Amino acid sequence: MRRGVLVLAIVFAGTVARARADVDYFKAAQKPTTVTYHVGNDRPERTRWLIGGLGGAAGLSLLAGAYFNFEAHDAATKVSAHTLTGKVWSDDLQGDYDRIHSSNVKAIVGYSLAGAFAIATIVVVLKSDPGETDVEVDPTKPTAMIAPTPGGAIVGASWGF
Amino acid sequence: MKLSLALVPVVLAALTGCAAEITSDSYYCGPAEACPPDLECDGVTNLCVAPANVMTFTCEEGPPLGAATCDPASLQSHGCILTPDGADHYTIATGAGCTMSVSMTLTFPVAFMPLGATIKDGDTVVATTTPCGEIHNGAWAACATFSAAPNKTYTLDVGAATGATTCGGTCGFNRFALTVQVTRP
Repeated sequence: MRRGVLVLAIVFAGTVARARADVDYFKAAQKPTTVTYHVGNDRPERTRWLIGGLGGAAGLSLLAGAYFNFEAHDAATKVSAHTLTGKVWSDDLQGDYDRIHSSNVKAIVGYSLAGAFAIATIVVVLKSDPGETDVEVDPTKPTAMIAPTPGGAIVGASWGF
Repeated sequence: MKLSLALVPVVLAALTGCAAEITSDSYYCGPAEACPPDLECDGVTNLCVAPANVMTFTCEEGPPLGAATCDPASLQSHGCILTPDGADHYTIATGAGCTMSVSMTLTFPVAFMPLGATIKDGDTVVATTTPCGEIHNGAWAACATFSAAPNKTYTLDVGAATGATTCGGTCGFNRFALTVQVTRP
C-alpha cells in the first residue's frame, strides 16, 4: 500500500506576500479516482543470465581488444623513428615490429567480438522484453489537515493507495 | 592476390591506429644486412635506406701501420676484406732495446661479415682479437693486447672472425678501421 501526502501550504503574511485574488485556494478538490500504474515484469532467470553473459563477454572482448591495441601502440612507438637513432636493427626490434601486426590482428578480433556480443546483448534484451502489468488501486478516503501558523494556516489532505 | 594480402597489415594498422613509421637513415643495418621491412642496407653508410638510395659496398685500403719506436705511438689504418677467405696483412716493427705494450682495436660495421685479427711472431700466434665494448654507431669492435719484444717484426692478419657468418656469401665482406696503441709497459 503506497501512501501519498499532498500538502498545500498558504501562509498569510500581509507584509511579506499577498495571496492572488484570482485564485480560489479553497475550491473543493475533484473526487479522487482509481489510480493506475504500470509495473515492469521480470525476465526469467535464464534470460537474465544470458543477457549478463553476453554483456560480460562484450566487456571482456572490448578489454582484450584495448589491451592488444595498447600493445601494438607500444611496439609501434618502440620501433618508429624519423631521425638517426644510432641503433642497429636487431632481432629484438624486428620482434617488436612483428608484434605490431600480430597485436593489431588480436585487437581487431577483440573489438569485432565485442561488437558482436554487444549486438547480441541488445537483440536478446529487445526480444525478451517481458512487458508491463497495469495495476489499479483505489485510494482511501482523504483526511483533511489544518495547522494554524502565525498569521495564517497550513491546509492539506492525505490519502493512501 | 599478393597485393590484397599485403594490404592486410595496412588496413589493420589503420583500424587500430598503430603502425611503425621508420624513415630512411634511422637505423644502422643489423647483422647480415638486417633492416626494417621496406628498407635495405646501404653498402657505403651501413644505414637502412630506401631501396632507391642503396649503394653497393665499397671501401679503400689504408696505409701500412709503420714502425713503432721506443716512444709511445698511436698507429692507424683501415682496409677492407672482400671475400670470406680474404685477409689484409700489416706489420708492426718494434725498436731495439725496448719492450713495448701493444694494444690494438679493430672496428667494423655490424652489417657485414664479422672480422678478427691475429698477431704472429713468425708462425707463432702471439694474440688474437676478441669482441670488446658495445656496438657504437653500427660498428662492433675486437681488441687484443700483447707485449712486444724489442727489435721484432710482428705480422697482423685481419680477416673473417672465427665462425663468422657470411650470409651464404652475400655479406662475406667488410671494411675495418685498425688502431694500434704502443706504450711503454
